[in-house]
Amino acid sequence: MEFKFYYAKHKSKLYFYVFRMLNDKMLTDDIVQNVFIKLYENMDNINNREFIASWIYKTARNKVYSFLRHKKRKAEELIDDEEPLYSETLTDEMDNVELREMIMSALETIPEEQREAYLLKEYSGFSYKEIASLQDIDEELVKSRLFHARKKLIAKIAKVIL
Amino acid sequence: MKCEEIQELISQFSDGSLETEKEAFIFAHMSVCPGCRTFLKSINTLSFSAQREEFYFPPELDKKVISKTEKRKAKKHVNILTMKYPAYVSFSFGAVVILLLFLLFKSTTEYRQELHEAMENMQQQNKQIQTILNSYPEIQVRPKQVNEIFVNRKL
Repeated sequence: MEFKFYYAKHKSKLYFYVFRMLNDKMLTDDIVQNVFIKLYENMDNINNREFIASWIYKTARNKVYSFLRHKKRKAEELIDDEEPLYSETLTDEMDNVELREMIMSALETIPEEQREAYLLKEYSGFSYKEIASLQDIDEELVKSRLFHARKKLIAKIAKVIL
Repeated sequence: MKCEEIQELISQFSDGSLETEKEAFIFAHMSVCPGCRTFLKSINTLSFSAQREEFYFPPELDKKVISKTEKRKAKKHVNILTMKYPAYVSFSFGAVVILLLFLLFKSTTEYRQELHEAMENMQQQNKQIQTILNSYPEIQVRPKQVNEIFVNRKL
């Protein structure tokens, strides 16, 4: 019963976080499934229920970064040609759905650690302190990462939102 | 202060974590800086979009996770004897079993001892009864008929 409560509470946001970090549906499915099965098996060992969200995200994050490191090694020799994120012919009548899609595309182009901080803050609702603990960094660095993420996102979508 | 520094403060302001005394400072700056005003407006647009996000979870994955956890739950109940327990539980269980075996052995030995003593007492009493009975005189029956029959009976 208790597992189902935490599963229902975190599943969608965790899925969003993992998917936006990896941009791979199959891999996201695997990771999210493994995280929740691991949570089910470890429910008795997590004494403080306040830390369940952190535990879930930390477990998922380890898997995400393990995959990203592996991917990075493979792509080391490839030249990263950044594609334009949106067409120059975009009109001012772009609706929220399109704006969302642009933000999601822009998110893919910013550095992983900034993207992660942004997703955890804006979409998962974590505090600076929680993000600092998850990323194992200082809170000041979290503020800095968020600022740079926002700045880059704004630069990418400026033509649409301004 | 440069616009870059002000914008960093604006970012913190949008998270609701900027100290109150600094708020006045950034608003004073924004009143004369259209670039930083636009930056705040853009951050609000990003936040607004994030708040409107409709989080999705694939139904087939949902079924998979639920079914796997249900299976594990069933397995947990069936394999209660074969499941892995923490070391201290196994040691405690072993110690209790050894203690019970020792108590059982001890009580069995005492019972056997008592039984042996009771049997010895019974045999002794039996011997005493035999001795007493053997000490009685012989009985002679003399019927008053022509042909006399003598019965010697030894009890």
